[in-house]
Amino acid sequence: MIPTFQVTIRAEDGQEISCKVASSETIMSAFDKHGYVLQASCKSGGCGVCVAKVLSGNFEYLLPMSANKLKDVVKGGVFLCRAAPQSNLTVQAPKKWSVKKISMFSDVLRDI
Amino acid sequence: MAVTRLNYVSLYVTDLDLAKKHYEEIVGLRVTDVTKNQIYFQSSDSQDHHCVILNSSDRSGVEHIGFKVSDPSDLEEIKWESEKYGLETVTVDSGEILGIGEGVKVTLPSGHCLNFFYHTDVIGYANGMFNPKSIADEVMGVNPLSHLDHLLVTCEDPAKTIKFLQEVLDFNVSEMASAPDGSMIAGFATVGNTMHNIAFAGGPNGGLHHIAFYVYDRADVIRRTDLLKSKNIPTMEFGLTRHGVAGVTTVYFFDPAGNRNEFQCGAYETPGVPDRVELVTWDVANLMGKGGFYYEAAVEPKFFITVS
Repeated sequence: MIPTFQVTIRAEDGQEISCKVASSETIMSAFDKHGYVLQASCKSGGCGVCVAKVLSGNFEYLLPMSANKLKDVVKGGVFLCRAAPQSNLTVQAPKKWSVKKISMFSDVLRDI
Repeated sequence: MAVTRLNYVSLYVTDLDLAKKHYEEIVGLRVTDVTKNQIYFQSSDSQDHHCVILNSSDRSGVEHIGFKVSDPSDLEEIKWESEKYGLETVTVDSGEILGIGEGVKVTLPSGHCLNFFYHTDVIGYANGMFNPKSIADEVMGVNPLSHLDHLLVTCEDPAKTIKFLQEVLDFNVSEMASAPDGSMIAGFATVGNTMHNIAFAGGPNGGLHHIAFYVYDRADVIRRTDLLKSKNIPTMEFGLTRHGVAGVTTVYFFDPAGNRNEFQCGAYETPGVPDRVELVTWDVANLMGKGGFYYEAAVEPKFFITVS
């Protein structure tokens, strides 16, 4: 059984979204399945656009990150495109997510 | 002394195996050589040893860029002129980089390292050098691409580096973006065989915005966009579109290390003689709009700030 954790993303205006994310999937792809499109560009650990601030919890990266970008990130930053939770996790996103329209067919794909 | 063409780009990648899969299967390059930490690639329609080198690293981005010169004696001259200008140079021994002869690496004011060299090993066209095949093998219904066309790199002061390339190495500048006071904030430089080989725009020193591969016709850009979608590449940036700059049909996407790639076609020809090509200018507002993305006439700021 793959461990699953609650991941919460808080926007600067205080709005929050929260999803169950398995430790084998990235936070970005998990939220995408639920219709939340997080700010991103390369989605490959190379640009830093998706970085959020960890407020509580632990994570690990599923694929390599560019050290060049990691060093620019303040301590406690996480690249959401390649990070998976290792505990319940709350992060603060500097850029707001956008919401995809979800149809009744999307429900089939959702983890309830 | 003449710099004659952009020959290759050497990239850092954070996972060599993932990157190999991308450049072989998505971009469609041939592997031409392998070392413990590097893989060398070439397109099917270029003869030289390589156009892309991947270096296994803890980071992504551009490691150095290779330009060919017209004569072996040019190397000594480039070394001397660059040092006189105040730039650092390093001699590269023959074979230090597989498949090419000795060279002179120059670190530009922008922080990027250019390797100037004369000799390259010739591996031949994929179709064969003796009674060649007429039809190249396709990859999933997509025609082979032609060649590595250009790079866009970033630095804090594009005008400064372009000045060196123009004045000392006879690069030509075909298009530029100007600030309201007329000063250059982005410049497209060429050694003559295409509208630009290397362009500099605002951003961190040493940064890479993208590398671009040229395909043979605009319909090929559509087919390659189809290929990206069919392979579920999650990192295609925007969709098929057109740049005002160079007038090309284009699509952007990322490699697994976060280095941005481009497939494009349709750049206008440049006469190829330094100082004989008149300059096309964009002001900043239009460069950010139609200059960049002609159909959309605007694009998210993250396109300009996402560099590896």
